[in-house]
Amino acid sequence: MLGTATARLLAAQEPRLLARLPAGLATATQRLIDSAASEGLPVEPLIQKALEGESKGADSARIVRAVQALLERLRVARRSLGGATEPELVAAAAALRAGASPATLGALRALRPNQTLVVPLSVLADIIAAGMPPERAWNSVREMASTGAGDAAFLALRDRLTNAPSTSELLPPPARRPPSDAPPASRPDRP
Amino acid sequence: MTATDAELVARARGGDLAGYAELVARHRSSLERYAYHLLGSREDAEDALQETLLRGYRALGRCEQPDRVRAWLLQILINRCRTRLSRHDPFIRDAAGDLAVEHAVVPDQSDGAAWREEIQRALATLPPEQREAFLLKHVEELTYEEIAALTEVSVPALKMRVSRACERLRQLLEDVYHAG
Amino acid sequence: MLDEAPLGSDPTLTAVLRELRRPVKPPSQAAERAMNILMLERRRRYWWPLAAAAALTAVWLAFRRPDATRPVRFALRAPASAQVTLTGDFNDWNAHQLPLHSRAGEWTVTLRLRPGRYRYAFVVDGARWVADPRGATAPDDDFGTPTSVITVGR
Repeated sequence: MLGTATARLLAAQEPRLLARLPAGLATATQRLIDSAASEGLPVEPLIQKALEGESKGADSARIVRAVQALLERLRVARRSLGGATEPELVAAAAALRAGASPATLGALRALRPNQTLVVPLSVLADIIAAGMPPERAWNSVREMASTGAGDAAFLALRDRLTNAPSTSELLPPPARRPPSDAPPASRPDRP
Repeated sequence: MTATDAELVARARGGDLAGYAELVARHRSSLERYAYHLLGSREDAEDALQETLLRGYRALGRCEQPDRVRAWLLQILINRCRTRLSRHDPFIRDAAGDLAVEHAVVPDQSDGAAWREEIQRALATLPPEQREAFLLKHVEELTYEEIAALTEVSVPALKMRVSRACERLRQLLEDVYHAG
Repeated sequence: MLDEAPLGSDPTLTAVLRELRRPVKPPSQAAERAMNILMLERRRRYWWPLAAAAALTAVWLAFRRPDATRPVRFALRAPASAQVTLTGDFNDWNAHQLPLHSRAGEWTVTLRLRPGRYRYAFVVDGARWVADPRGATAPDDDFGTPTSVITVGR
């Protein structure tokens, strides 16, 4: 067990980690936080993840793995979104964790370049977590995004899809076809 | 040549809103700083500041020392903040039951944010009257006589409050400061 | 008395004051809002008795900070419990700091949160972690404990 003075030297920067985590874990977490900071990634979500683990009584190795995994998702999120605010990166990391593909994030940004993506990304994460396959979840969100819908509409979509008796009963919206497509007589049946 | 505060007050009293705007621009930063550290919430500080600036303009005719308009605005702000603090008691439930009883704010990520947060937490542990006296004395750097005039508290009482506040803040923050 | 001794002699307090004297960043919109209200009030006296209200609202909306906090209500029905607290991303996952208040077995608390995604749980009687039955389940719990998620929009 390290003495207080030594512990202070090791985890010098984030007082909350030092106050709540054992010294070794505080150091390991601090290193991850320092990496994030040097890359310009938000550190608060990482700190919250570590404190969550501590609060839930998880062992140190598990906490470090969780923080590392989150850091990696934040990196991917930032690469895929281009610039992003901290709440956007947190929501994007959640979407990635749920199973959305990085390409999805970039596509969403392209659809809504001037509005925050926090709610659409969060809703995407929730819909996939509720059991909808990622591709179909993305279709629903993309459809909504291309209509210029606001936050309230996305949250309503999430409520509809996650409270449905079974998300597999919901059909995906029909794929849009350009007007120059084949005449109606030869159009294939929709599923 | 830049106008003095007294000149701007005279213009504002004559209905020149641009004159008042210039006064506001000059003093907003320190007013906002005081309100934020006293109330501990950006939103509350902004509301208090907005009320202060509106009242300040409407009551400008009653400002007896135009060259000390900063202190005059500060006095309005001190009273707005005191009113807010007397309303906000986290353990009182009102009839509606939906009163926001806690302020949980996601901190910012800039350098030194953790240290700033520790300072805010330490300030929050001070009784409001100590916090008020401490901020006016050591952050806004008024004299005890000026503070006594603005707060209607005696100089000896103010000195006691400031002394206790300094002691408590040092106790709470010494370890954090040396660990950082 | 401490307050009369030069504070420069104490390094902690010197550092604290250095921090406290800095201007608040980012600066607020309070001054702009106040000036706009004053300008509209002046015009209203002479020009737009009815339109002023609409204009005022428009100015307010334009200046409303996009990241202003929103009141968010958390509730749990737990009539047999003696204590319920809220823990999550917004309070460092402190399990004992945010108590809910009970009325007839319905425990509630209202927080002010900025737009974003927050994970949280209730802690019942100091020991039992419970997800929010009325909330969305968090897909990204790393520690095997019931956790919920809430999305706060603008």
